[in-house]
Amino acid sequence: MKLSSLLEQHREHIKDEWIRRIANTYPLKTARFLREKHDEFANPVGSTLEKAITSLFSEIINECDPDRIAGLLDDIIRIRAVQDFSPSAAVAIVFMIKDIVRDRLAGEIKKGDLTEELFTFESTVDRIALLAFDVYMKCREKVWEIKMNDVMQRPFMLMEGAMCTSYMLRRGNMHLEKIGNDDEFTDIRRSNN
Amino acid sequence: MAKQLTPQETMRIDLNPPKEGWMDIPVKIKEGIYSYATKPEKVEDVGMPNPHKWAVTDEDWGLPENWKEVFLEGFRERLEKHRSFKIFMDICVRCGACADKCHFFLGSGDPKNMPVVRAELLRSIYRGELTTAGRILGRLAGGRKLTRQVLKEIWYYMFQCTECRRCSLFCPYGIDTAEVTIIGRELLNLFGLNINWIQEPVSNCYKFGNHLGLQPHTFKQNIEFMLMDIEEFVGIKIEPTFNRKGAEILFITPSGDVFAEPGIYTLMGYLMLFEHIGLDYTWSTYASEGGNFGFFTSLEMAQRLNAKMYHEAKRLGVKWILGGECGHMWRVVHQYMNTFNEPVDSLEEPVSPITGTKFENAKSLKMVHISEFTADLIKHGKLKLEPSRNDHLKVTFHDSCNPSRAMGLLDEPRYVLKNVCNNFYEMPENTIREQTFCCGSGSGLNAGENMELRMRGGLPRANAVKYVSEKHGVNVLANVCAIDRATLSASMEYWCPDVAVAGVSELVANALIMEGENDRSLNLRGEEIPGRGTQDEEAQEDV
Repeated sequence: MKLSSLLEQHREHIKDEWIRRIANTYPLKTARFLREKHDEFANPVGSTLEKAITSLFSEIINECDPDRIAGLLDDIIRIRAVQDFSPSAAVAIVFMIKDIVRDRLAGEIKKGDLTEELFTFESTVDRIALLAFDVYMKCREKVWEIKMNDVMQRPFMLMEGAMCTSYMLRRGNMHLEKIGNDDEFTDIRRSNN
Repeated sequence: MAKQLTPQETMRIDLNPPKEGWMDIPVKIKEGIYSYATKPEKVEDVGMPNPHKWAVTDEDWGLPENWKEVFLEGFRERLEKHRSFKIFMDICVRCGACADKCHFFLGSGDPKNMPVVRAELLRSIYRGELTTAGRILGRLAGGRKLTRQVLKEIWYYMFQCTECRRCSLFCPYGIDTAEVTIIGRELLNLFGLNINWIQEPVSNCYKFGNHLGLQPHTFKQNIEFMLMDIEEFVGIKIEPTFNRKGAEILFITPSGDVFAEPGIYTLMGYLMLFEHIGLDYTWSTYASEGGNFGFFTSLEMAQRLNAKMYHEAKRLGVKWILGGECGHMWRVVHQYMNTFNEPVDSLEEPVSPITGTKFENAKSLKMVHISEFTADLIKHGKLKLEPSRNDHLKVTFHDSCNPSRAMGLLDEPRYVLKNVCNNFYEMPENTIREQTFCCGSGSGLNAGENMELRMRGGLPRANAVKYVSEKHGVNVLANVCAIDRATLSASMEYWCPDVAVAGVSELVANALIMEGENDRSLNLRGEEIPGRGTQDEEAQEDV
């Protein structure tokens, strides 16, 4: 039997175990809640995890479409990127599937001499982890972009005596010239260069 | 031969959360989750205690020597003063009904964001320091001692609650965790431990009449710039009045709408609506703020900032007050304003001068919500509307926490929206009306530096928006709150980038047929309306 058939055969177990291990990266009470509450609006993180991992596993064992995979990773990583995880812990969830497959299928892989196929599978997982890193960075950059836009608006309030956006738009690029004249703002700009 | 280490041993990536109970996990203050410390001069401005320079990252937060006595005395005083607080400290049985109802818990996964645990941060001090059983039995009675580290933990989590009151909806005992947070913040303010994002608006409001510190001429000037936009986009000239004595109605709205996108479009909507019906009203550059960040500081501060609203109404001699789209403003107005101030004999029971409707619900308060007012106008056929101008928009409605849970304003905005937009879709039942999810940044947490916290808190709401966006193609999230307009814009940018945020009154004005208007090919944002714009005509000519 080929590894892909084995993965298909053990799909439910592998997928459930993957979700369980990801949920267990949260504190105990949270992990239980994420797994047990099945309303997608009352438990957005748990239900996103369930849906995305189910589809992601299907992608891995079937078409392996990189765009769809990136989209599914986005669903999960976008959440982890703003939670209490280090960057490594945020994307480490991808590698979990390697351990799960080895734990579950070690005997059959050995018996069926499927080591070559396992290498290929794991190589795919490694590449998905790299995609996860891209997604993580995209999310973090977005957070900082939103933060930066927010901060950029504050000095205008001080410099312009709080003029409204309509006024700012009418004044065109005036604010860019102002930047250089304002110490506080120059500091902000410098720290972001 | 030495044992070869596994990769897991050499390169440790921590995927295992702590197993201890919450009391044994020391607080870890993380950047992106907290807002910056208040500036001492902003504390001084309003005469609050212990103004001093400090930073959240400092080991020493500059507490006075007797801080513990002050805290516990403050705690005792509030237990006596607010019977509800005493009850909330005593009766929680930790059933967990509230645990998974908080947007911050759902978005962060941090158990200390379960409302029960957040309240327990204070309750444990109450038991451990202020009850006999707790003083003797300590941990056995769920008590603990107040330490500097514990105070930091309380601070960290009191500013991770938006006082939205969703949790209280599910509490079988009716415990209002928001009130616990309110008292928790009051206690922290005994030491000048506010966040600047709250304290500076408080100081501004005290000195200038509004959170943004807009001086009277700037306030007026900003509105004049919006009038220029209306003239350009709609083709009509409007000339509202400011501080006019003898006007029938005083209009008060949050100052955020005078300053920032997309709130300014909502304000343009008010201007057009009042022009459309020929309302005898005035703006005030003194009561130039509907919101009340004092409410996120202490109840006394909320009272001081609120006083100007009735004061100004009396000074101008208006009959009643019309209030704009705001969230916590309406909680303060609806639940506190009457008792904050002397009986308001100078004002009359509000009656719509256009329809004759008596707003009996506002008989005592003398203040009417703009959505109630607009819904009444529509119901009586007083508005000329062309809803098809909003046909390119697929709209859903976000119930803001305070108007929905604190004043029961659920149907009026929906009625208005359904009359000015042809495409309206509700989000799932357990995310709207009384059960609405918070925007994630209310109660003064709408700073920039705590954006990760805001994104966490905004997740449950965004999750429901994403659902209707994918199912029905929803592209506009309408609401009646100035903080929502600002914060949901950021939240949508992260979670649902295809969805724009708009005030209900902006959509009303887009649909209003104004006397003497131009071809209305532009909306209030100066964007071409699909199917009406010049570009579309050019494209058709090309074909």
